[in-house]
Amino acid sequence: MSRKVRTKVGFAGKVEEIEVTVADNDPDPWGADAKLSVVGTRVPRVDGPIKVTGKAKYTYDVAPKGMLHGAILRSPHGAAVVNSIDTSAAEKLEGVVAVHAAKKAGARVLFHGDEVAGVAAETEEIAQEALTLIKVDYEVKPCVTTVEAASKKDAPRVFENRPNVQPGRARGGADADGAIEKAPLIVEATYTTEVQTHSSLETHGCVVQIDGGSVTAWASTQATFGCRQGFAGAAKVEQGNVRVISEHVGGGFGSKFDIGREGHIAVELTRKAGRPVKVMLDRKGEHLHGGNRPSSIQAFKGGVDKEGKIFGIKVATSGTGGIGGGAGSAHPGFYTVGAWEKSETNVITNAGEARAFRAPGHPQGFFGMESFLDELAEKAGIDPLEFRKKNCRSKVHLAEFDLAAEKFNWKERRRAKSGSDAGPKKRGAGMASSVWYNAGGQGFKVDVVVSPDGTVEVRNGAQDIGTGTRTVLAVLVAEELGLKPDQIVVKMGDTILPPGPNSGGSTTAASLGPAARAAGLKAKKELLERAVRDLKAKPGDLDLKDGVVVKSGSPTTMTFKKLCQALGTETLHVTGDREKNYAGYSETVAGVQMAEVEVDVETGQVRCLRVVAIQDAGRVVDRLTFESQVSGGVIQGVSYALFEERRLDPNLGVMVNPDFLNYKVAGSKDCPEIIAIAFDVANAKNNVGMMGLGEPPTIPTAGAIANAVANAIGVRVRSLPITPDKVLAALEAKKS
Amino acid sequence: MNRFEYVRARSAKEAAELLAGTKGALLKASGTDLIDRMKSFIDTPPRVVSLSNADGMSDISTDGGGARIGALVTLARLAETLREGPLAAIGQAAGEAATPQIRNVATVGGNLCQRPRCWYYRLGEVPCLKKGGKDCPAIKGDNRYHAIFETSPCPIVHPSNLGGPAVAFGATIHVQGSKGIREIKAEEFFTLPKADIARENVLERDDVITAVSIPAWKGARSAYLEGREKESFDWSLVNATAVLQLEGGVCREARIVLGSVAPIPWRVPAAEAALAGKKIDEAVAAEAARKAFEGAKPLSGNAYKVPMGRAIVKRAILAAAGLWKE
Repeated sequence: MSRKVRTKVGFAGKVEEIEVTVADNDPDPWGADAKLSVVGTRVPRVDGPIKVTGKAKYTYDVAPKGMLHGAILRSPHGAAVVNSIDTSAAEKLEGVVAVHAAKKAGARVLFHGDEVAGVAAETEEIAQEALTLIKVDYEVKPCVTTVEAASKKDAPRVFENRPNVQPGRARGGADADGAIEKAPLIVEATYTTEVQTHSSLETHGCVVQIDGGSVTAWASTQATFGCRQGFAGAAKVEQGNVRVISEHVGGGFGSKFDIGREGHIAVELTRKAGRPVKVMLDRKGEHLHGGNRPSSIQAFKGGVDKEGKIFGIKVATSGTGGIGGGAGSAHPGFYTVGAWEKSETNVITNAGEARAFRAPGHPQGFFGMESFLDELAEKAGIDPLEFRKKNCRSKVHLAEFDLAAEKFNWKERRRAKSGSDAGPKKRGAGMASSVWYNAGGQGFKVDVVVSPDGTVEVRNGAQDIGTGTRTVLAVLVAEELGLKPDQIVVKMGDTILPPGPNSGGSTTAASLGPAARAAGLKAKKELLERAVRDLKAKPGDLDLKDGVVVKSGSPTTMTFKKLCQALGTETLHVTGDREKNYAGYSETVAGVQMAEVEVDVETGQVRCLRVVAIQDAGRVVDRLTFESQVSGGVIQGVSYALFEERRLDPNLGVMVNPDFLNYKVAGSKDCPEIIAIAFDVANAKNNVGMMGLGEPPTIPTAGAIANAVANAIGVRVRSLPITPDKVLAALEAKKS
Repeated sequence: MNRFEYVRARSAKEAAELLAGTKGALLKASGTDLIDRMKSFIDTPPRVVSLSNADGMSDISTDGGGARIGALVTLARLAETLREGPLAAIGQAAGEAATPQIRNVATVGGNLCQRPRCWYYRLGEVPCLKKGGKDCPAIKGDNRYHAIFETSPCPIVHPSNLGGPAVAFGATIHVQGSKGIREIKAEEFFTLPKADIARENVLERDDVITAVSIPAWKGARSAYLEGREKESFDWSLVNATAVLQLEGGVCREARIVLGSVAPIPWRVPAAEAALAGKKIDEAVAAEAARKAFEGAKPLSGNAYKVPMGRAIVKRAILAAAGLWKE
């Protein structure tokens, strides 16, 4: 059952009123004019202190009694057939309790790092030593590591039963060629990006314990409920007999949805050993088979006129996600591009498979698209900012473009003439944008439990992967109960708690936030009903504010603690439901970033100095958490733009940089000054108005940096990462 | 890693004897490199001799303009002590290495003796010449970070930040062996793969570096600069040490040593000659930098090191002369 509610939506200067259909169960949505006391302020992470003092327990820290340490033997070859595998010597090593051959004789290994066997031993060192005693006879096969090599007619097939080149669906469908031919100015350019690994600071892994028919698994995951299914399958037990615990997680970025091969190996070892087993990947295993963002090759052709009108764009992309698929690039965003035509090809290679990675397809796609927009603008002789505004069909983006230009000082920072700075270090400015889609999903539940001593617990079984979900839920419940967020205890990451989402698509906070608010409001109503008697008030006269019950038109108050004492021996336990989203103001969130770089034209080194990131996330629940998410996205984007690249040796198929020494991730000195600005939009998609934030801030950064580099030096590097060798080569090519 | 015996030596002499006593024993100072190699099973020593309790190797003295640096002096302390003056390049080189955490434990002796960072060498599962294999995967493979001089048979680059300054300043390496002590000139300390594929210096397996002494360079000025990808925690792609004796802006003597371009610190006499007797300015420095890379033979993936290196050498010369600031 539902009701109609009128609510104010939009953003500063553009507020309008719309009617939304709200489930009866659900509170009225907070509109643009909502007066809130905690929501929208700057609240430090509720779990910050336990994290920085090391008290927070991650999967790595779990050690049930009798636990063994697992280790995984991986393929040293890019492709091979296992002729034989002999684990007897490993089994005989003192301290080894179980050995599991994941590959039997005759099996193929498809990439460097493919799991061959697992060992469980009394110590990690013994487990590692045992791996060296497993004798595997490989017949090495030719492998392919690049799109080019794998696409050749006579290339060896990665999978015997299907070709390496997998054409994807065509999109757009317009006759872009015909439209482009009519344009007075035509631009063609190809952009490439490399494979990026997720590089979560906490690696994948789990601790598995099996007692009779029930399984407890502590897992570093972004999907406690998804992993419950995975462990149930691996251990062949009912899901109801599996409990997955993931109290704190050191990042996932899309790579930690299922239990992985390491989860299956942990289950096998636990069963064989009859004792709990911990299998955490080392950094090398993490790079080799912990997921990655596919590479891309994006060939653009487009037509434009001097007024900046785009006639059409045609793009053909290919890329590799190793033995997996998904090598697509997201285009064209929210731009008006005339006739649009796109084809995609996924190429299979001998490498660990791609997994969802923070805005799949987007950082690479927007790097290509936003670079190409700059090239079209240049051809048309129009400033890139003006060019984008001319071709933008999103009102939020339009407003953000202007705000970004003002905060960044675009007019001054953008070099009218490239390379005009004195000396070898040239500065430049560039911009790019993003779009994202999610307002969370329905069907989840959040419990609020109030004890007679005034303790307020918020419970949900989903995981906080480091994004700040705990804090967001604490803020929302604190808002309704008139408390401070640090007075709320949030329990998450355990499948015995109410159902929550897997953390994908930037949906976790927005899926749970409205349910937390609903539960908080329910708890408030029930508590106040009790106070009605004591304070001799009518229900509508009471409110909870600053830790006390206030009565309108009366100085009479009662502390929240006192109010809870009235519960006696009872514990108040209410559930908030996540109802479905309404048709609100906007289906998407908008982001714009501007970057300033300094390029040393003699050494080729690029430094990103400053990024202004304007980001819409619907209603911002906690501004500090917002800034943290945006900063993290920008840093990951800087790292993608300038440093990160999985390097596979083309002959051996081995990853030569499976570490953090030569797989280069931006460090503190590589991070720019980041100015993260929330662009508040009252979105009315749910009772809070929350939208997804995790992914969008990493989408524009690489494109903005690439455009800034082009502005600085007057020549474009169309390939990520923009390393010194590429910059020097581009400058050399420009000279000749 | 393998099972091994761990022995703490109380002195360099005892360490040398403990090394001599077990075939394949390896010396550990802070272990920042050794432990990584052991974890990858690149080294499987039956005995590890630790110097962490050894006496008399942690002092640094700068009397009379030179320096005597104990082998266990940390890079952080070295960077702090030799920040200024004629030997500033040493402090700068120490301060650019690795990360603050690593510099707080990594030692001078260990920095000079660390094994190559070639990514094929560091992958335990990939055979290479240094690990007894038949050929070098880097030559046909991904060699973007490899040598451009003396690339055959093994194009590693020497990983030591301090190697360049040690050669440039004419350092002496003091060594304790199981049979006695000796001194080795820095320039004779490092060896090419073609001389011995299994090692990067002339130390015997029972040798322990006790100290490095630097002669006084009165009136000299020096600088150390790196070209790299990242600012935080990165290896140099090219580095350069420049030591200049100047009189009224005119260069009386110059030492120019390149790093990350050859299997040893790469002194370039042609560049030094190009500076001698000249008043240092940008054109003179650029010409010396050009000379420094004459004869470079880049591999398939590292031609960029030549233009980048020229810029780094030019700037190091100018920085030593007080004409360039990063």
